[in-house]
Amino acid sequence: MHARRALALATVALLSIAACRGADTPVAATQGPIKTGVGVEGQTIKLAELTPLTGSVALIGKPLTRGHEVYFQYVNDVLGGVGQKLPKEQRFKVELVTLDTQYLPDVHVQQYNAVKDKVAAVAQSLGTPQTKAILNQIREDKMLTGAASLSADWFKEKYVVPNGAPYIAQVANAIQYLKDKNVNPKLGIIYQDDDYGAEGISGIEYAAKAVGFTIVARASYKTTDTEFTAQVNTMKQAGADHVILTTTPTPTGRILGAAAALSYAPRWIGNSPSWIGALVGTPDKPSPLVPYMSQNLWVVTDQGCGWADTGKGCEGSKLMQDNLAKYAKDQAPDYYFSFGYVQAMGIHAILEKAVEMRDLTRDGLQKAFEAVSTVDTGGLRLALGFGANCQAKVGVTGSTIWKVDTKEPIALANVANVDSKLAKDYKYCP
Amino acid sequence: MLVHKALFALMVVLAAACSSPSALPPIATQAPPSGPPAGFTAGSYEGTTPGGAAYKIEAPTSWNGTLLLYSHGYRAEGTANPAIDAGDATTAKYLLDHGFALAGTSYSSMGWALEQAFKDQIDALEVFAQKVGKPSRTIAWGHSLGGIITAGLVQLRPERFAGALPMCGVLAGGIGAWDAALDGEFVATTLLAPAATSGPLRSPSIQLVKISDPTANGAAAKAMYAEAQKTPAGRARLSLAAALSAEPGWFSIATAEPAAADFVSQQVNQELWQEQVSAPFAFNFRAELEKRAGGNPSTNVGVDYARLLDASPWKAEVTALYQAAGLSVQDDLGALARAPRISADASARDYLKRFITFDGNLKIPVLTLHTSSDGLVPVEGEYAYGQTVARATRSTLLRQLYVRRAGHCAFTPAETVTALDALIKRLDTGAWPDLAPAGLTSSAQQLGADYNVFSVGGKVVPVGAAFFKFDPAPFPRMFDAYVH
Repeated sequence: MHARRALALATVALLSIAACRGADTPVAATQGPIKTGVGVEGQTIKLAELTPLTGSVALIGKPLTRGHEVYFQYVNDVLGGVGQKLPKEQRFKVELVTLDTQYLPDVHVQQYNAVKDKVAAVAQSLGTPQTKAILNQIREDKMLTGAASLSADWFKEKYVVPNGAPYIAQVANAIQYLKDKNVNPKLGIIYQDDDYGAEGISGIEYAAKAVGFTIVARASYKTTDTEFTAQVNTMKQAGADHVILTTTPTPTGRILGAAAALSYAPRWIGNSPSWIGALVGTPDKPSPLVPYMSQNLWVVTDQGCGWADTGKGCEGSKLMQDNLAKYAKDQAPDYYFSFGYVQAMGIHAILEKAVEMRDLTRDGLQKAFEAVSTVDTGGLRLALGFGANCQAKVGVTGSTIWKVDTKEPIALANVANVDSKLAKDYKYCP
Repeated sequence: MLVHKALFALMVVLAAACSSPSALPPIATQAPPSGPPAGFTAGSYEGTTPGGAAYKIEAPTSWNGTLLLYSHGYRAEGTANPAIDAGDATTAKYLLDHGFALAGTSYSSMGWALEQAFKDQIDALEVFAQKVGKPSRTIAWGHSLGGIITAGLVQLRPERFAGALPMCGVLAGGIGAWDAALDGEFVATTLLAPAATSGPLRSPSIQLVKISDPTANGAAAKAMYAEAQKTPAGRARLSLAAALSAEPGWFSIATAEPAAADFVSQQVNQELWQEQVSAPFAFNFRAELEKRAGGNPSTNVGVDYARLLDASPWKAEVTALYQAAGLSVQDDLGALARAPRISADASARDYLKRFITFDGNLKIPVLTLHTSSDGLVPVEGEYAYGQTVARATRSTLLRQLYVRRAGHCAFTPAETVTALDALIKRLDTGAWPDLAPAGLTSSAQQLGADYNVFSVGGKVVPVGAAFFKFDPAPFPRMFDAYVH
């Protein structure tokens, strides 16, 4: 079982405690009062969630946010709040302030501005171009911001909390996997015409050059596009037999639909945001594309336990599912739910460290972020890399490659875990 | 001034759903933490507030100490303006029988009477205290314009209330609501009126703002919509106007909701909203607003209609109808982009900001209720209110409920009572009860046949409770205290 990979990292005893404890950089704890700043009212820490709740990318934003809600409800209810070493009545409850960004950078900026003076940190900022749109303000406001995006640029940022291996690593790991299998592909890529798509391009150019593969076609689309036949035709006419999708779920569905209609069946390899379980439909109303997707689509994500893996080394997955059943019965198993849940674990680890360092101001949160080097997720993902410098934050760059399998709870079955030197060697840091 | 009959049918909430229940259903409403004041005076009272509004007060002998202050909907100048203290008689009787006291006024002004209503409704609380006694808590509730008044009352005077239930309220706020209406007017007249050289579409007299003859203007607009509906090109353009001003594709409870891909039926329904409901409001009643605001408060300067269409849930319908008509939606969006825009008068806009723009800074629990397909007060306004409250970091005090139904304020007494019951549970326990739609629907159904009714075409018919999980699309013209 691929969950065993997580064992190397997880010496998990009681996950509920392990999850909130970073691997420790020694910090001199004082017993003075805990300093608080913006967004901490009494014993409540307010955190912003900037995420698409409407529009096509709400397919990602909603379950991801649900992951945050469920995890922090667990923190508030079961752990009694943030500050495990404090008496229960002195612990801090977490309150999430959720704002709809519609996946539009300018709305993202507007929502950030509306709430920046009322929250301690941004627990979730979804989207690469969207988060880049607030990057200067994040720096000025010293706003610790959890990026729900796997851009490699976050490792260089003082206030941006990454959430796993970047899109570039996903592409590099997939290409290394092809190389290892002695495939000599004609590569293509369909990518979103923005900073997210640019990372797909960086990944394919870097990895193809390194292993000697040829890129035969590239095609981009705008987030407002609804028709993708032209992009698919570009791939088909160039003879691309392996096509990277640096896309979001709605375009993915339409691209695959157009390709099936054109009887074009390359190996599609999607970056993690290309996928959502809803693409396969529901058991009583499955998508007609399920056979095509099962045959031709791989999805590359951060490496971690599958939804069904709840045994040794995957205790985090077990606890997540218990919490899901307790707090969000109507939430279907979903990759993005677990992505959000893991991100919330990372933010929680920083908050715990900040309480331990007795400083919940913006400066205090940033220092706590530096002081937490890794976050053990109980096998849900390879440990998150945090820390004081870029290289420390790059952390682990392993990926899991999945195929579509509707028998699995999140409709994904493990093909391989790949932790390639190629992905590691990319120059993420200056 | 005459108000269109269909408009009355939609705006007079549940007036016909008045069958008296033979036995009270066994739903328990909670007693407030402290009961009524000692020596209160039960009874029914009518009179006039110091500000000149008619009031109506009813306090049962078994009063539990909670007062429900009702704010009624829009009433056009020249129509009757009685005081009422509930939206319909069935619900009023239920509440009185369960120990609640009721109060409400006519407002001392008609039309967009927020400025007066805020004062009149507080005056009614003073009268109630004098006549009956001091309530242990007061809950504000109301329909439509009374929904915006309810939300406004608890923003302006939170110390007077324990909670609020705005129903089908104009919760996008005054600026947002009237700007969105202007978009519908602008798109329709820009694309439809210049197309004809004669007949009803050739209507140079149609005024979007600064309306000189409101009745004639409303009639001309109505004719414009009806005429456009006769051709594929007209229907395509009407669908664009509908999409950009959030007109829904389901008009009446008497017909089934069109299927998701039934664009033809959706547009027919949208046109009914445009012609029968929005036309009088946007092209006629706007004049009353301008009079009280001292000018035009609305603007569409800088609005990117292509972008609004991208965000609209009706974009697929618009695309399909333009294709069917052999027209280019891009050409029409280009025409809209080039058309001269309308500026607001600053002082009039400021008036509408004051009456009222929401700051979201809730101090007390608020529960809202809206139908999914409301062409007069689009459900997207709930999105605006929810986001405004979130920006103020007060979302823990807000919950929003939805009923899957066509119509403005088309709630059954059972749904209304169920929503009110949920709010009271929140006030009594300090925590929101389970608001899962299936549970609420079941609770409403258990109230029995007498309460699960609605008036359709003047006849009271059985209507099943229909709470459902719903996420409204973004309000097209967001305007709130944090971004402006």
